[in-house]
Amino acid sequence: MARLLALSRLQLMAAGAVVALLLAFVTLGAGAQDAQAHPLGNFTVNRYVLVEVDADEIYVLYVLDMAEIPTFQEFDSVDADANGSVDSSERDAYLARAIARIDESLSLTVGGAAVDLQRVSSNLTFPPGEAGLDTLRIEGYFRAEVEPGAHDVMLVDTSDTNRPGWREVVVTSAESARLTATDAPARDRSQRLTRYDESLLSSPLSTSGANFSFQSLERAGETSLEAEIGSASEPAETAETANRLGGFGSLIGEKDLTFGFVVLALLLAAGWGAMHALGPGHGKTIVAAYLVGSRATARHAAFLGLTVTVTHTAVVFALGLVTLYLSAFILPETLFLWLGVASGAMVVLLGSALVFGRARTFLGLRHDHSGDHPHDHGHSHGEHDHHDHSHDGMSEEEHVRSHLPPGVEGPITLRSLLALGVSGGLIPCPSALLVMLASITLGRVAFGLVLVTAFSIGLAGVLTGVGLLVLYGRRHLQGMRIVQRAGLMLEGRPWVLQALPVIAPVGVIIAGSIITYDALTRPGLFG
Amino acid sequence: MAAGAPPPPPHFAEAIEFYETAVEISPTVEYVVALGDVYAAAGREQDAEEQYELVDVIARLAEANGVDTDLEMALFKADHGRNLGDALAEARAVYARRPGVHTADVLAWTLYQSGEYDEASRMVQEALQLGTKDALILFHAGMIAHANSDYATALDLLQQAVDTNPHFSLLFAEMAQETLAQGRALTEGGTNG
Repeated sequence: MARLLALSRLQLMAAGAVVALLLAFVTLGAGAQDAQAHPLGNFTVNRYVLVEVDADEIYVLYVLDMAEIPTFQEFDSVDADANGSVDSSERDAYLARAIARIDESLSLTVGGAAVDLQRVSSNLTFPPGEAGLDTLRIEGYFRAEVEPGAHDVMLVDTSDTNRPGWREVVVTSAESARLTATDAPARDRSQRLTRYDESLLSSPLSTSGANFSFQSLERAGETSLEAEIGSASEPAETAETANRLGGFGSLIGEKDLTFGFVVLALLLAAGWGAMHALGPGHGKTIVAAYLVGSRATARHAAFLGLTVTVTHTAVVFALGLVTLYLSAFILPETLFLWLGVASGAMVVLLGSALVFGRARTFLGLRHDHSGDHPHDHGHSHGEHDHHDHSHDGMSEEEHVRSHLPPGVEGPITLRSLLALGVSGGLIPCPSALLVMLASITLGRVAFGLVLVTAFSIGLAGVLTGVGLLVLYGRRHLQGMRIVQRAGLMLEGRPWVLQALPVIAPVGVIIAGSIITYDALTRPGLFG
Repeated sequence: MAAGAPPPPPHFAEAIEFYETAVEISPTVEYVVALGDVYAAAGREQDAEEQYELVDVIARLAEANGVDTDLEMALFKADHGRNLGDALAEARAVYARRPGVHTADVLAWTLYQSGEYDEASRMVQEALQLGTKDALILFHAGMIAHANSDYATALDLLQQAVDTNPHFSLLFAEMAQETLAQGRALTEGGTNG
């Protein structure tokens, strides 16, 4: 019992994660409306090294960008008098310590010999971050002198590696030098840690050093880093002081649903539904087997898809409500398992009925048509066409279908389709259930319902698609000459196809039995 | 079991080292609170306080990113006696939104910490009604029964909590053992006299 409850708590947590993920998508989709956003997380410490070589100098710009959480953790060492805000003397003292630390962690060797980097200038700011909190950004400029000539250089940033974050090293040359070899890119991917390359967020840069060689050329004016240092002597007045807990920003606005987000979320939900349907063990086997054996049309397939969608949405919604509001009386996990049993049993029954009906007509028909009645392909069976009345309007398919005696295929009744659709949608997909639970939990029931509907449509779309594929595939098989020539014919039609309607329902029964067995043997139903 | 050899001295330094690394890699509420609790248990109150303040910051960020942390925050505040008024309002709101075993438990515990023993008793019944064998819920229920002078029930529940997991909480495992010992002394005294 405790295990089951732990499971439902886990589900809630997972649902929270799903919703958080969705919301994270909004932030990304909105195109970084906040310049200081840290898409890698509020807990990251990001480091960036830009190297520029000229005829006789190596310039290094080091940027340290702390997201909200490390900034808060660091705050106590910035705010020396612990009064909750930073004054200019505290800033200067902290910056001096921080730059000394950075200097220590940077190791530069030229031609195998260690070279000292001299601190040129530095800058500390507290750009506003999320939730009204501050972030921390340090820019330090360093410089080392080298003899003009050809040099092999190695630069390594040995600072702490535990903290997750973006680490980027860029190596460039001024006009007065030429890079002859380098293992670092010359192109900046994060605009100095202000705008992270979104295509790289799933595998952020994690480079903490570079090896390169350069050749001095004719000395020619200022390098671009040198020029920056000259102009950056006046640090921007804004955001240079900070408060421990920042100013209270607007927290609520970000939670509103925008149109773009809703569309994106719906697409995602439908995509997940489709992917879920492609996963193993879903009702698609049943649907495919059924359609193979039936004189199904696109219209039937669509109806089946609709039934699956409606059933799946209804079940997920009902189960979500039960989980949240009736969990004191019913254990949702048990209910979930019984749904599986019911669904499997329904499928077995349906399959049995089909086998029974078809086997009878199949045997009966073979008796009726014993031998001396030649059937050419393309020949139309007038007497059979009378039985096709239920499919008028589907003339394109008449031709093919008219070769299959009625009875053998078994009529497609709305009732059997409904039963199949309901059993296909009866087992709720856990991820759809999670989305529903999360939506109810967050008080967005309507949105959740729409999401689950989108999910179900995606699911049904794939199931129906598989069914149609099988349907057309069979028709194609029927038209194939090889099958005809190989003598695999029975009364003018491939015997495979004639036997298929009888074999298919057996597949339905087997699939149903597996679903039932699987549901019955899950832990928790009787234990 | 409880009356056996004294427990080995806790390895605070080692625990702190592990939790500091954990917090550095992934500063989630869970780890930060745990680090704070270990600091507190080791007598480093100032360091503990810093971690607890960090918890508030993480919760604010989570909220700004659309993640609800009110249940966790209510429990954290109730456990540490921080801002009980806020904790109670949050616990009530969470329970109203999604009534269930865990929200009922957190509300019951917050009520207990605020001295509202009657209501706490009603809520904890709801948390227990499915028979959840969770040491923390059983401990909460035991302490609430104890506060309501229902000593027999309190002893039974606390014993269950300790039997389920004697180390269920860094903060409260000891309190459970002490209350249990106290209660036993009381009931034994009662039967003898």
